[in-house]
Amino acid sequence: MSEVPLPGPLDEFLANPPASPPHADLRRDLLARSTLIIHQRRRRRRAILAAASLAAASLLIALGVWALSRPGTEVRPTPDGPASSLEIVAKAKPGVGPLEDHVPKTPPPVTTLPSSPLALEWRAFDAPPETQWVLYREAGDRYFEDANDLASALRCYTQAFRSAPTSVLAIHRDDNWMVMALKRDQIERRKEN
Amino acid sequence: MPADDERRLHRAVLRGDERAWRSLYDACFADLDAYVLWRCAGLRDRADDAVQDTWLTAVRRIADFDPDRGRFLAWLRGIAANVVRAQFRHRHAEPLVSENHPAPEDARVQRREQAEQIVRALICLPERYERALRAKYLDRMSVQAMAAAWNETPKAIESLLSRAREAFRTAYADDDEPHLSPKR
Repeated sequence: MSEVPLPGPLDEFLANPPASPPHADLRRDLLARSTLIIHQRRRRRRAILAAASLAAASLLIALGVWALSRPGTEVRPTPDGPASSLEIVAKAKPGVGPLEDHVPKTPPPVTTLPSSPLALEWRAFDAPPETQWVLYREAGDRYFEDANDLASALRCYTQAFRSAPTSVLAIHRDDNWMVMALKRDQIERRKEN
Repeated sequence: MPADDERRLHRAVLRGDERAWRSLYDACFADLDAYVLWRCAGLRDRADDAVQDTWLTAVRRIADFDPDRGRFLAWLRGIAANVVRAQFRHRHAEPLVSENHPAPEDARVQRREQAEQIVRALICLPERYERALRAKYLDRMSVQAMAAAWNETPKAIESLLSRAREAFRTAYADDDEPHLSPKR
């Protein structure tokens, strides 16, 4: 190959490529800085994933709330009852003795009950703790006897007996089979606790 | 490093794997440094700056690297070429000699001026000429090896090298900035 003659510096540059090692610390420092960027990117990526998960969960909750609050929906309320019957008694009659001594002789008066069991269940949900169990029991009876809706009856009875005084849990001849079973279950639970 | 390993490491880096990044870094650091030093005509301080900017740019833009289009080192060299070009373009208007800097009296400064002139000449070269000169004189590839790698005939490679050397000489000669003259 006939090569074009080059000026001295170019010839020298091409024939002997420059070779000198980088500064000793450059390689190490550069690795540390670039690795830090990778590390920050990983943290940012995790934060974005967490935020996206949170946003998705919030959206689902918002959709659920919206669905529940729609008028005319068939979704039935499933409110959590008070934490324990002790709380009910304490709120109802603070500063008094053992649970059994403070069972109301007669259930608190409930004025003009709604006709539908669903409306009754809603009223129970909004009622003060001391009257809640009565309304739930009534709603359960309506579901069981009038509407033949066993699932809803089970939900209401469970709420009722969870917060009812212990004396109410005594089994009567008039109780239906579901009430008997739930009362028995609740008595066992309270013994365990 | 095999291309498949590079591909795997690249995916790991995108997931934030620091060890994968270190592997890529260690595999390419020396070759990239040699290339940048060559592009900087042996000016170590300029090369260090360029190497630093190249790696920091690469780590920030690692998602842009496509293993299907080429090797990681080739991608790094592309970034480095742009970095060197930007650095020397920026400093092009800064003559070493001015009213505040007396005329050089020693050979060291003169060599530096020559080196900067070489860098500017390399910057002016078309990419394929620069690539041919690099393969021949830095990577020490034979004409036959270049022809095989680029799917060309040895005759075509010789012709390409000849044109590249001529373009290099012309670019060097055209760089007529009065760097060694005191600014008036």
